Amino acid sequence: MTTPTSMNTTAGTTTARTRHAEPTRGYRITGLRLLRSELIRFTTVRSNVITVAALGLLMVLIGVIAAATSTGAVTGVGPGGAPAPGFAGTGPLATVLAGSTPGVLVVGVLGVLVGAREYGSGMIRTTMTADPRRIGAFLARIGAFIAVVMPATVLASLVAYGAGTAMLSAGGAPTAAWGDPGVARAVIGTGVYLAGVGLLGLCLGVLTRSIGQGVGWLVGLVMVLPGFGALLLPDDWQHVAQYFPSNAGAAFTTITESSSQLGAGPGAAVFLAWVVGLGTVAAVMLRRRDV
Amino acid sequence: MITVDSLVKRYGTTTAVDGMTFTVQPGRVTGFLGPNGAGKSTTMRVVLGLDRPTSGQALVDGRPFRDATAPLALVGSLLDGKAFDRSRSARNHLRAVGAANGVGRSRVEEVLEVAGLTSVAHRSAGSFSLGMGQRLGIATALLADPPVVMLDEPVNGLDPDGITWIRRLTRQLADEGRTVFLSSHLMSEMELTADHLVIVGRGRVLADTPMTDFISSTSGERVQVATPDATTLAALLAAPGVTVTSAEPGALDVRGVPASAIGEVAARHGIVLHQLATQRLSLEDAFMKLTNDTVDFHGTDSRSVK
Repeated sequence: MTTPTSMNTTAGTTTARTRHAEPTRGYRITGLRLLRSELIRFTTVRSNVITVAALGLLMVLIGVIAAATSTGAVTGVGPGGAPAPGFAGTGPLATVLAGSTPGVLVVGVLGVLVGAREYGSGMIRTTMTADPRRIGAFLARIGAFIAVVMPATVLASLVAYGAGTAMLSAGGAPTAAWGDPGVARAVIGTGVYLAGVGLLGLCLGVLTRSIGQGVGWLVGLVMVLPGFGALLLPDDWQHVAQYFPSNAGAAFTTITESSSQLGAGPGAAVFLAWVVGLGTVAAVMLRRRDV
Repeated sequence: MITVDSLVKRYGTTTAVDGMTFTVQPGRVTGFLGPNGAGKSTTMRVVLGLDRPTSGQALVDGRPFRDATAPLALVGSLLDGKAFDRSRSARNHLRAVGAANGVGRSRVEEVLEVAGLTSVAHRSAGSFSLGMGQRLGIATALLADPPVVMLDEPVNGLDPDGITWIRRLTRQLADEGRTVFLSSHLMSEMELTADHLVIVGRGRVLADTPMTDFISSTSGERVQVATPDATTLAALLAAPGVTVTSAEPGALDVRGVPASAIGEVAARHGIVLHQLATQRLSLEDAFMKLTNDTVDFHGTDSRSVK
């Protein structure tokens, strides 16, 4: 590190200039610039990039392994050490998309990290002084997350479906054809759902301003609530459970229909409402709170 | 120009800023001086729209900072020394922050150069020393060539080379006609850097004065005299421009007459002197005197140690 000999803060300008309150050089906030800033932020943290790649790999690998297990090409271990077919009883589509279950956790934590990381370092203040009205920066962060993560999760779902289905048909097992009712919707829906869970995580990260708390709330909302919440609900309130984010998600990411589950369209709408609702709360709090 | 007007900021029952009013003018370096907890950082955060004032307001060029269309090109600021994500490189940090207001790559290289970070720009910011982090923070502040530069404790963690750099940089920024506002809790730093002082303690403005006035009002010699004939000597020394005070019998505190002259007067009138000592009041002493009553947390013997 050297002390520079030239102290000019603007290269090429050697004389003192008149200072204006109005910005020079066309500096100004625009939506696109905020988005660009957030894209740089996302892609220049190495762990973000690694996590997205790992998520894709996880989806495909688990799909292929689950498919292999279900055809008996690979056998799981049942009670008493007897060989047992894994993923028996799951439909062929659920089998090849099995990676979405751990995927939810990975993408959700990634979202929390993106939302909360800057609070730990204090960089959030720099970010907020570059956009003092704050909402633009928040929307740009959501936009950048969608732009990077959603193509990756949709692609991962497609590849997991393709590779897993090829594995199933090679083993002579029943498969879910792309043209079958709901299959294309469920495969693409899985990718969209994963990105959506990431957005829930992002909003929780902004709301809690803490990675630990954000992850806690995320796990509670997406993973614990569906199982545990249903136990707490009285019998005639059970229908409420279908509006939980993960149950609403299941409505458009699976092709099994059940009376306790919303249809694909309403399910997607309810899940979107969760994302938008949580996003709105996060935006309002972000604007109101001191940072 | 920064205008702070009747600013009050409370957090719960704690009052961080208790009715501050002052302006920071362009073309000079204004030092924001006060002990820890005096409300300096809070005031800066309110100026930047990060914290909402409980009452009163802070304006930049007559408008709330929140209304700025190009905020980075209005105020460049350094609040925390290590306010960047650890894994991102210094260059990428600057690119990411600047992009939000349209600052391009070539300008990023310029501020890296100004901060002397070009050779380490590819390294992750988390690996930086405190001083290098501080330089990166200042580079961030300069990104969009702002007319107002506000730095919270800029010399924190800098080595002597870095301190000299900050002094020259802030001087140059002020000479270019910019508004430069620096906070510090050390008078010795401000003595060499600031043209104007806003001294605060416990959330209030204690002094708002040009540096030269502060120096002339507080320096100057003071002569301590101990003599059994204090009353007689005091009468003999009385003249315009001379002040004589007495804290206790037999002790005088004389301003405006050098010790040699006092000695001669005493000899001429046969007055016995037990002590004749010149005291210099440093700026640090003057600052301490001004803020001593407002410091929240004294060490047990901080007054006697000084």
